[in-house]
Amino acid sequence: MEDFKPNHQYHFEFTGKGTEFFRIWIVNTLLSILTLGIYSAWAKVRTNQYFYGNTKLDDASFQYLADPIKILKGRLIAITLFISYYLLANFYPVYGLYFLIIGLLIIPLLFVLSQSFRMKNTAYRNITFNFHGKIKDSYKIFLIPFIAIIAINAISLTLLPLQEKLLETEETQTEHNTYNDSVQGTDNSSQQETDNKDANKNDNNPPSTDQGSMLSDEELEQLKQGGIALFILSLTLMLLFPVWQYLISRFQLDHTGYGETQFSFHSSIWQFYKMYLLLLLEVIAISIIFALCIAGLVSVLAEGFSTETFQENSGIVIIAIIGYLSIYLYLFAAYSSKHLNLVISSIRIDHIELSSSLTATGFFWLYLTNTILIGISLGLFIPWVRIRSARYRLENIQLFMEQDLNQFTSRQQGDSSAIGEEVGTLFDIDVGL
Amino acid sequence: MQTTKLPGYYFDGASSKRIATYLVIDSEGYVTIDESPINAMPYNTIKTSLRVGNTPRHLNFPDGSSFESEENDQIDQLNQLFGQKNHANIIHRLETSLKFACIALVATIAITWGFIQYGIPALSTPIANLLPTTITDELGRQSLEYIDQTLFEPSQLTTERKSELEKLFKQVIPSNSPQKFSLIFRQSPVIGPNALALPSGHIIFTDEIIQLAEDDHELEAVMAHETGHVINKHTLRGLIQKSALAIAVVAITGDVSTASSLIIALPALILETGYSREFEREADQYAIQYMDDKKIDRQYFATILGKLEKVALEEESEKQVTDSLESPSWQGYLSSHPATEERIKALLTKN
Repeated sequence: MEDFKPNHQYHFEFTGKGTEFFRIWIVNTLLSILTLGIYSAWAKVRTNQYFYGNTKLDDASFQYLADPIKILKGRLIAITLFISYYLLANFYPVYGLYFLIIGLLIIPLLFVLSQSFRMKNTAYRNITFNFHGKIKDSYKIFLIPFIAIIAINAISLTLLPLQEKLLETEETQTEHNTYNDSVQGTDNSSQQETDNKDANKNDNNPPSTDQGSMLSDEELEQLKQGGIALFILSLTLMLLFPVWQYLISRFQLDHTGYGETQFSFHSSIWQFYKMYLLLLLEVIAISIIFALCIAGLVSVLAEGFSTETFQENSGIVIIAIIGYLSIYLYLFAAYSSKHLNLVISSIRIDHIELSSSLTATGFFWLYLTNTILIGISLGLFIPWVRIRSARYRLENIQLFMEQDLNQFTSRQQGDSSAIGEEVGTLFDIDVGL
Repeated sequence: MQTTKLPGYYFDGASSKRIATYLVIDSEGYVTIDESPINAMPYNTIKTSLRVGNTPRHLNFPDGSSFESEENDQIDQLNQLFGQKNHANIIHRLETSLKFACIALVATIAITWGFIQYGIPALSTPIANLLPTTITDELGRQSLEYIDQTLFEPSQLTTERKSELEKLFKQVIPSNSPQKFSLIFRQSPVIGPNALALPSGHIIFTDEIIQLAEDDHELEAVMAHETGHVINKHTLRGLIQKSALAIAVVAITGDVSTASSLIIALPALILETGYSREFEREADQYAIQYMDDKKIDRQYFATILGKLEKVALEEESEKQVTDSLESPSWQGYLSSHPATEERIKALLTKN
């Protein structure tokens, strides 16, 4: 790309207005409620068309083409899955993890289907986008890091001493005790019987009629082991997460096309690590500054602090809480801007290069004002928030190219993989970028 | 109507090439593109995209080419004159009317409020009755396991005192109910004087509340209150209402960014505590009914409530006191219960 001399530069323009969108939003919300959610599919099409239609590149607008009936079908499936997951996870919190795993297993499928649906229904200059990633590849990309994490953790766990003991005690102890305690006890005599059994079985616990909650040495050891396992798990997660993100972005963008023209993703795993490394440095620097500020404040007000009453120190506590929340929001903003900039500027469309100039402070201000606006209006400012957010994100994207935007050609009719798209139209769930 | 000329862009559908030109519609309803060899075609063969706000319209020709134009009003007129009936434009008219937006706003708020206030609580009882008791047993088992690990220690009461209270408990619980009940004793420095009802019918009394009561009638009143929670399936209904609320929140707010949805979660939490306050009133009502039937002075209930309130106020910094276990996440006693004063007043004045 050394000989790349861009002589055309475009940037996205967003012409949506909050006051206009508010009316669309409230009418669609009311109609969705009155039709028990059925209209929400039509509402989604109209909302998306409002945003797509107001997104302009070189004065031409984007178009959302989805058929509301297909969205309705997808929504019915999605809401069924959501409700069953939600209810099961609530009523059987102990098995929540299993439901989560089952839920995670369908994500790769949904990713491909929804991506394909969205791209196919997006048009610009009368040419549609397309996504042709394979479900098989999607599973590979989503699951390989998972398998790696499980493998690393399994190996590290077997290397830990006392591991067998941990499993044994867990099985025998907890299962029996709690079973007795819960199933029994319809009347008071059987309750006492159970209590006695409990006392006999639990030699570690002090002799009592109830199941004690005091921690024995063994349990403490289990806790320690659990802590180490958790540490290794989070370490592997943190180290593999950038790789995973990179692979997903690459999969998504390498298989996207505009008409016959292919997108490609020009980045490397190192770029993703670099982004997180910079973010980590920022976290450390900010934490140190924040800690110093608080320490300074405390020493200035040292006399007040020594009285140990909450009221007199509440000023510092409030400052600390506000400071903490702002830092949290700022880091979220820093992450969002860095991540979006990296992904967008790595996209090549034929010879077109993209750049994105989002900033942490820009996002911080956006998030902060959005949160306050929604908070004080109890949600009524959602339309304005959505318009502002879209405008900020879009208007920071530039395109550089050698030629103008007239050079693209549409795909030949009928060469789309029929089965994938048929299934794809069943779902409409937004995942990804 | 005379010949109409609409400015816009023509796209042939095969390439992204853009031609800035005019769409020409003659008085007969035939359409041509200015300075283009395309054949004249009747207007009603064109498919116009829906009008949403003031976004540009796309007129799609049968051959796959299209014309993009911002002349929305003129296109609407043409649609009426030559095109097929355009029902979707009713929606557009609603979406642009300020009057209707105000009506929609009021209606949306009213329906949402009514659904949350009356709809969800009314729905939860029949749903709770439909669910098999295995669910409540399982819930109770898990909760007991959890709180035993986190909050409780073995009770220090003497066996005699326990059997005394168990005898009392047998009188309080309804004899003809399919619901199982059992009384459990625990000590808990963490939550202090308190009693909890689990959906499985396990009712837990802390040693601290037993010591706090000066008369067993006070404990009897608390037992009746907790029994009221179990009989009215409050934990299960609470979960159902919480789930319904979550689903409703997702349905109404749709896809809002993460930072904003945090704020949405707050009103939801306030509503949840409102539900549990309603449950407390129901349980109080049950206890009052019981005491009246047994000709026990309601004052006993008022006394123990007053004492609990006092303890709660003393430990203001740690508002850990709670009464009925709605879920493993603890809600402050004062927020999830109606004001004690109000409760005492209600139970002393009602007939």
